[in-house]
Amino acid sequence: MSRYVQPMADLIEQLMRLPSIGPKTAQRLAFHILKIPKENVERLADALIDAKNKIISCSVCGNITEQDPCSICTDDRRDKTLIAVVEESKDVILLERTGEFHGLYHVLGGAISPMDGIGPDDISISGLLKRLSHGTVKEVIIATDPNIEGEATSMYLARLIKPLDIKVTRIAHGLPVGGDLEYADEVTIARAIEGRREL
Amino acid sequence: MLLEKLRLRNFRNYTSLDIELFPGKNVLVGDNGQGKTNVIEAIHLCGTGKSYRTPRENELIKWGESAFYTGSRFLRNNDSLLVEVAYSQEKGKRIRLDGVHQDSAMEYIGAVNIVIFGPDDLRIIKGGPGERRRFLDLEISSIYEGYRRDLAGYRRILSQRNRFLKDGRHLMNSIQGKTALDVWDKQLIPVGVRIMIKRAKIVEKLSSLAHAAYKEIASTGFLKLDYLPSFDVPLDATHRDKAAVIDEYSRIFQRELNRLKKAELLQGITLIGPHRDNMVFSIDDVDIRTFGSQGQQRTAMLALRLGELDLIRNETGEDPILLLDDVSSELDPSKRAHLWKYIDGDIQTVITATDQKILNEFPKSAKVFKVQSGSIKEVNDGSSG
Ligand SMILES: Nc1ncnc2c1ncn2[C@@H]1O[C@H](COP(=O)(O)OP(=O)(O)O)[C@@H](O)[C@H]1O
Ligand SMILES: [Mg+2]
Ligand SMILES: [Zn+2]
Repeated sequence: MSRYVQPMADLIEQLMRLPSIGPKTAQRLAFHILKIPKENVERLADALIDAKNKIISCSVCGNITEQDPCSICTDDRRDKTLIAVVEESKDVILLERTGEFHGLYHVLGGAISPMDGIGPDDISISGLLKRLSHGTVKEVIIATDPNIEGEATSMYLARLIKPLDIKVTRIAHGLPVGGDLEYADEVTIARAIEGRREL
Repeated sequence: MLLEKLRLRNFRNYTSLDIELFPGKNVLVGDNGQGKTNVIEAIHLCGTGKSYRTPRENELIKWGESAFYTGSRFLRNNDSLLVEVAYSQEKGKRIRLDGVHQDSAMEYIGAVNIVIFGPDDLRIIKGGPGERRRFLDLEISSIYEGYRRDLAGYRRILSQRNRFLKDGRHLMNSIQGKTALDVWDKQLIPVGVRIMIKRAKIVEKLSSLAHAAYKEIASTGFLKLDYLPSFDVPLDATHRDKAAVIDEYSRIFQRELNRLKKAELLQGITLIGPHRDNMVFSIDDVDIRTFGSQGQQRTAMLALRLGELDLIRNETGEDPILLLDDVSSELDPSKRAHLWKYIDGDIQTVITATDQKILNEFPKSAKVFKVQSGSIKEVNDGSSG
């Protein structure tokens, strides 16, 4: 037999569509799924559907949430004069873990990258500008990744925001250059927030 | 720098090879097509991370196989260093230094210094500017870590900028569009300028070292190398205050980018910058790429390699490993005599030849290997016929 039976082939094909999963990993996962008890598979399937159904993005900041606006945007104890701009929702979690940042967030949903077909209009920049136009925000901390695309996005934002008379700072580069916020530990990120510089 | 052991698996015509090298001269003897140059290529690959014969790693895999592995144990500043370069059709290229994976964005490894002299060399003088840039980048990368990082960064910024020029030109009527291009310029310029200054300095040093070597080998003629950047900048850079030079170069770079913007948007490509640099070889102020004789070109090339050797010595305080492929067919006996004299000390050398007679040209302390259709046997006494 040189081919898998259809349901197995379908499963492998679906798994392969996930990021960083190649044919070998997909096969291994598929065989694993066949092996485990049926209720575990059902729990996995339910979790997938549930997450997809219940999670939306916050209409204010773009972070993932169950209710709109999200719990950070509606939290009265947070400093509403301060916004940290990040690329992805996972970066919000990273900054939250440091316990050092008490302002609001804005999730761009990516960084400017012509090679990936992503221009300024393809990430949530106009949404950010709209939030800033209300006049409450005094400082924007740009915490995009310290790589070429994150840097380009940061410069672009700074050019747009500075004329609005809002202070723009860039998270300090204690972070590995060419890196990803994800690879920095909490202490490094906390220090990076403290040592931010004005753009 | 010493290469102690080399291991190949499914590399070119070698299924499995393990050899130990001698700290002095190592001579690989064998008929044509047996696998001598393949060994030179493998050693060079371990030093640089790239084959000098092909940009396609796939060609290095033994026919019928799906992956190759090369491992070299070096001794650098008396510290052991294991360099592994592997490539598989499924996973692509992987490089490890002492077991630690290296960033695949880096084009060169640079942990090991190697100088190679071989039949393909003349293309550095005779080929297009890309050949000379490759030569320079490889050279500088093997000495300066920061340069390798800058090169990788520059490549990425350039690709992004070119893509913007191709796809984003319709945005250029708006302020936002101009800003969207500017965020690439503002990153391209500082990295580009650092690369240019490094190249200018290294070419100047290399020029005087190659000049000295040339004077010894050839009876007449003044060999000179000149760095030719893609746009005019004052080239006395090395002798002035660094910050001021960076400032000046950056200003000129930006001015030229502004001037060329229309053309760049039209063509969808970045028209100036280190990726368009060139280097000129001249003898008595005549460009030898077009006007030099074959003999002049060969001698200049030998002088360049010897200059390279001295440069690495001066800059790193250590001898590079010298790889000499087929020198008996490339250089006549008198030039070879110069070469042997130059490397008289204990610099580690790997020499390939079709004829054992080459052993008579230098004192006997060489390790001899017999190469035959993808296998290598150590020969105890090289001098016995
Ligand atoms: N990918 C490959 N797989 C197997 N054999 C190869 C591969 N690439 C080259 N060869 C063989 O290697 C030999 C050339 O080896 P080379 O080292 O250049 O020879 P020489 O001893 O003349 O320097 C040729 O016989 C060629 O067929
Ligand atoms: Mg050969
Ligand atoms: Zn929110």
